[in-house]
Amino acid sequence: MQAQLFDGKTAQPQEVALFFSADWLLIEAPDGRVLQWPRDQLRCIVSSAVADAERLAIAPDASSDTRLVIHDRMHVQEFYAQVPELHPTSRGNRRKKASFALAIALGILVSGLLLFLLTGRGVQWLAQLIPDSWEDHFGQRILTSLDENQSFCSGDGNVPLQELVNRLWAVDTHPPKVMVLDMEVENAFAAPGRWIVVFSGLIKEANKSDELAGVLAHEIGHIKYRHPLQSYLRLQELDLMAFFVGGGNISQWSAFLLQNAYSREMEAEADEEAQLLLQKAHIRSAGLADLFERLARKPDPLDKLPSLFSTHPDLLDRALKARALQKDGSPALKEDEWQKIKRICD
Amino acid sequence: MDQSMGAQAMHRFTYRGRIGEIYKIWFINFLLQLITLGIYRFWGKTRLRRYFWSCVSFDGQPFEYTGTGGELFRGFLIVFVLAAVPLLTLNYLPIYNPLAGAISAIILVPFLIVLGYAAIFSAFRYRLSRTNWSGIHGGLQGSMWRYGVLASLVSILQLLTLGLLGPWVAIFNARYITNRASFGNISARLSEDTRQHFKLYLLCMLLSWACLAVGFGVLYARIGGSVGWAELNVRIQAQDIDAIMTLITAVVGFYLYVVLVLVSIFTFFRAVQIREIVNHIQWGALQVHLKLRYRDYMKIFFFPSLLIAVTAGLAEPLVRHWRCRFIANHLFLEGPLDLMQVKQSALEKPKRGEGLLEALDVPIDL
Repeated sequence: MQAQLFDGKTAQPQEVALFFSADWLLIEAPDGRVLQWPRDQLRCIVSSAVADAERLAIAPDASSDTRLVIHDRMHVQEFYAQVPELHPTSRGNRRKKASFALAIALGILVSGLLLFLLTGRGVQWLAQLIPDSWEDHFGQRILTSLDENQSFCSGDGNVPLQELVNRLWAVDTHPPKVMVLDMEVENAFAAPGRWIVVFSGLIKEANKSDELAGVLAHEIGHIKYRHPLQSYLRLQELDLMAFFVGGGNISQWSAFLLQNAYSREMEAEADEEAQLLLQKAHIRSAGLADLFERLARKPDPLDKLPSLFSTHPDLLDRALKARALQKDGSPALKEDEWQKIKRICD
Repeated sequence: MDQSMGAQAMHRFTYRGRIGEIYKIWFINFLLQLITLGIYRFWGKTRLRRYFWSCVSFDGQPFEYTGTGGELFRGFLIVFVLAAVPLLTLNYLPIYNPLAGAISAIILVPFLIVLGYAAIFSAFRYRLSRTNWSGIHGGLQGSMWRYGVLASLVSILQLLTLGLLGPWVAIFNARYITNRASFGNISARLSEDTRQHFKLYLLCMLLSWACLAVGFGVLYARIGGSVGWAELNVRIQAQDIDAIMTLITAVVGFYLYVVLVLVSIFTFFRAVQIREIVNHIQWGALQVHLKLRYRDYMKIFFFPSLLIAVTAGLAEPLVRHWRCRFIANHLFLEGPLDLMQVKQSALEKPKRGEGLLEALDVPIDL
């Protein structure tokens, strides 16, 4: 059988003749030299199904640059007939495919593990590994960065506000610290490390102390479940996943939708916890539903987005759920304490 | 096959890839990458490269890609750990100590910039060393770190000159890499008389500034004419949704205009620049020729990039197919080629591939 040999020393091909023995592929060069390549180390250079049928390149081993090239379909088939172990359907190649399948299965297992880490339980488990002191320090940095751009209100209302939080926390040790940020935003958030930030816009919007108590109880719910830290860890994991998976925009959108779903779950959890905390503190729990209903009636440009893209579940839904769970109780604060809080940023 | 020893012999490339085969490989890669959360990416990339390399022939002999997915993956793992340390430091140290965070940023940000350029050099070296033709492989000599530092410095120079040094920087980078590249024992060289086309570049810059000024003027006049900036500001403060949407629409529209204008103007320059550089490369005694017109560049490089973007990557295999076919049809070498004188490269092959490139997500095609 005729073939071309590229000896890996120059680019000049040599026309050679091939002979086959049980253990060797023998290559006779025009100058009479005979090369012996062990059959068990031969490698087919795979490129594509169509190309491989018409031209076959063989290497003596995995690392060599030397190539033996067989041209045309008939000679390729003749070669496979002589060296069947190199045929794509041979047992050796089937073993390679099985190893490949095993590697894929392993890859899926690793992916499964990574996905577990992305789920609620996985992130909760990861959050437990973070020491409280680290989380607290992280929260302090967030507040410091806020304080650089806005100012925290220092009025007398801070005392009854903190007392309300202590009452809702209902445990003697390490209650969250609450601060009011002077910004016209009707919202509040929990930062890692047991910090609650309430915006002055929300205090202005609240009609009764029960409404503020509901919001504080909701934020305490986030703190109890370590949602702020879990949220942050989840974002880091999603960034890492997008980095590994690649896929550019698709990965980023997937990460965004996944994070939104996770946030909605956390909000629902915090709403339920808020009801429990208010009831334990014997505070009237209708305030939260009242506030949700009132905020839901306000126009919001983001209403036009499908709920899939919203980080907060529909306020009306939340109001309905809160209404279903509400119980009677006493007012959250005395009137004079409430008025102090209303003037906290004056 | 033009393997004549004559002085005017033309040596051509041919490409025989099939879009069906490419998509078959791509689709399997996509599925496997999805279910392994990206871990399969390195093997998938290797499969595609093997296919594309094998579809391109020079003087009738096909190329061969000898890299492996394992090499890419190992390289990535090592560098991921090495790059993770500075990136994590930059991300988290300022939280605990702002001063230490600032000092680390001063040290680590330049390091990461140098690392990015070093990654490009390292990737070229890997790909050349894993490209085999007629039993001969390529190589790139020199230190990737030296290139990283030099390329970073010239980039800073370009920035400091507000982009005026752009043509010089492009030729500097092209020459640095080309003059260290070889195939077999034959080195490549970018000739000294490669022109920067500085006047054309300057014209493009002036034109783009003029277009930007016109665009901004139109935007300003339109908003000012219809609503008035003061009124718009008041309405935005009052959270008027229509006013907010007007501003967003205006900003997005202006952004799109800027992108289209800048891209249209500078792709013209880019086509001229690429043609100039490639047509001044020699490989031994062979002169490289590339036929590339502005409309070819738009058709093959610019519009297909948009197509990839709007199809979220689905058109990528098709675009690569088009580009390979175009380059094979328009690139050729002229001059004597004695295959006996093309000897094996003495450069050692790197053991791992492109870890830096993958870890830092620096994009260079295939």
